[in-house]
Amino acid sequence: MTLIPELEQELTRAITETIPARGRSRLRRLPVMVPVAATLAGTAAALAATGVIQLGSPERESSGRPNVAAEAETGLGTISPANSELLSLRVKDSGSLLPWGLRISRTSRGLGCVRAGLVLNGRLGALGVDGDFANDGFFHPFPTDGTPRLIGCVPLDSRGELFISASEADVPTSASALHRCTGAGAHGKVPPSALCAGANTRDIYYGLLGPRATSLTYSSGGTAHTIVPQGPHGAYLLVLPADPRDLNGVGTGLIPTGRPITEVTYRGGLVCRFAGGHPEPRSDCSTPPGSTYTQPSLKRLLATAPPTGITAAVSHGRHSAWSVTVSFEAPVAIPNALTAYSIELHNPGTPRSWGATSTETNLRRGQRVSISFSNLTRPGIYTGLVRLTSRPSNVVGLGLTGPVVGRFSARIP
Amino acid sequence: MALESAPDDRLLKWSSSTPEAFAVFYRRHERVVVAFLGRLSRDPELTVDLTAETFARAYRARAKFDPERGSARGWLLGIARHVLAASREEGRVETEAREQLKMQTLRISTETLSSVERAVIEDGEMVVEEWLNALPDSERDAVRRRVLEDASYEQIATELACSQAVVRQRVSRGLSRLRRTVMEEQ
Repeated sequence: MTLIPELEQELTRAITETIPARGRSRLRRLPVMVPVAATLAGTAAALAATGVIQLGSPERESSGRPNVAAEAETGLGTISPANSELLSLRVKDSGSLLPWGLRISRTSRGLGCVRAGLVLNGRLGALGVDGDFANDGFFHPFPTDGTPRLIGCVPLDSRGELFISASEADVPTSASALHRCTGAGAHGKVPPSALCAGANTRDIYYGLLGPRATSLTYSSGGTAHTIVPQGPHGAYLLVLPADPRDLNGVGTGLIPTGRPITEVTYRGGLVCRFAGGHPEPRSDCSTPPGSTYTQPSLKRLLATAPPTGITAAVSHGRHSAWSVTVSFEAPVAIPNALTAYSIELHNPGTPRSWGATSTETNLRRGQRVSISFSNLTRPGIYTGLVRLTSRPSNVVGLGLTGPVVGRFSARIP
Repeated sequence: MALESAPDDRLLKWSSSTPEAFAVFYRRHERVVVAFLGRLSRDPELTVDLTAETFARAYRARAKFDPERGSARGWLLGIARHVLAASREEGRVETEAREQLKMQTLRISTETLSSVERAVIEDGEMVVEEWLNALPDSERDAVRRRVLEDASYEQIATELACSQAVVRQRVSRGLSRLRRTVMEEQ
């Protein structure tokens, strides 16, 4: 697992381009195994009805069942079948046996998520083709319990409605999230080992625009297309041939993201235009029209809380370095993923941050919090502070702004 | 020999005809380079930019890598420090090596930035300290304050109770020593 998959892929692509095709060594291609039955029956539905597409094991990023109880109060929280809904929207894809669809979920920590995949018999999942799931040809449903994917979750609005837009580049036509490969048709020259064997990849753009949305316009193949968002959530899903300019990128936000989307219209005549994946600067399009987001008043919350003492204990860490463990009692409860405490540590003699982290779990008021910073080697007095922060529209990472709960210091000998 | 288990010098050599060899090299050293640059730049987006230029330069200079003169890790960190220093001087990250390779601008996900932040918090300090371990104490302190913390020569001189000329000399010697030790890019 790389930290910057976008860079690995672009480096590989760029290097490949520099090597003449004749001089390029060829690595083993992944085996191609198309289910034989696919040529015998007309549609995937027919295949499924006759049992030709069989149900495989659920697609999970780790083996075993999730510890739902433990994960319900941490990170993004957990989803459950009761809080998930497969939307009726279907999009055909000439490169896939099954249509694409969307499933929305609400997590135990107050977030809303959307996921795209292939649909079979009312379930969202991936197919075991193109090198995924050992080419078993089975349909592997996405789990409806456990932790949601990091991609595709945002805070709900203050009325509990979900507005979200997500994009994923280079998604295999199998729809599997476990194996990102590269389509030769999209990228031209890439190492064969990185290819999705015998198939193309897709760039997918999907989300919920809200009930007021009346149309979405996007550009593909040099032509503008307009679609009507579906259902009460204003759902949309674009499944497009992978664009070589989109290098395995993913994005999630409240408003449409992705180069192809150029315009969304809403009831009442409001038109939000996008250029290069970004909205034109106008305030009524910066959040989804029809949504209401109210940030909790963190200052007011803290003002009513009793003062809390923050301690910083120094101990020997690994590699002959030191660790500082910061502890405090939560002055304000953290009931969901919308707020958290962030803890910053500064180097001796400088206000610059050594590092920062945040609590990613529900906390009761008064509950003890302990966070450790390790590998400190510079002697001197480290200073730091704890803030109460709120989560912006994107769930990845918390902003470090927010009222200060308290400060601490620790001396490293 | 499988790519994944091949030594670094082989991977660099093979990458002239097999791009996947450089991908393996990248995966092997990415975390250290990210932690190092992230610790020094303190900005995840800048870290990605610096990392991209560092690996592009490493690919360009692959023929100069000599395993008998030092590890690939040290060699990469030397290149990384050069890229960082140049970016501080010019106020922007150089793109020369990436342009030569005709690399496209990356569209980085928030998920990736989050991973980078985590890696820096977990390993940044340790990687930088290991890098500095090749120096005697006096040079290490001066290099650390100047290169890592952007302190002025005047400030360092006051802290170390010596003249600015001495600080400059220690920083210069320290960086030269690191260059020799880690065989930075020529």
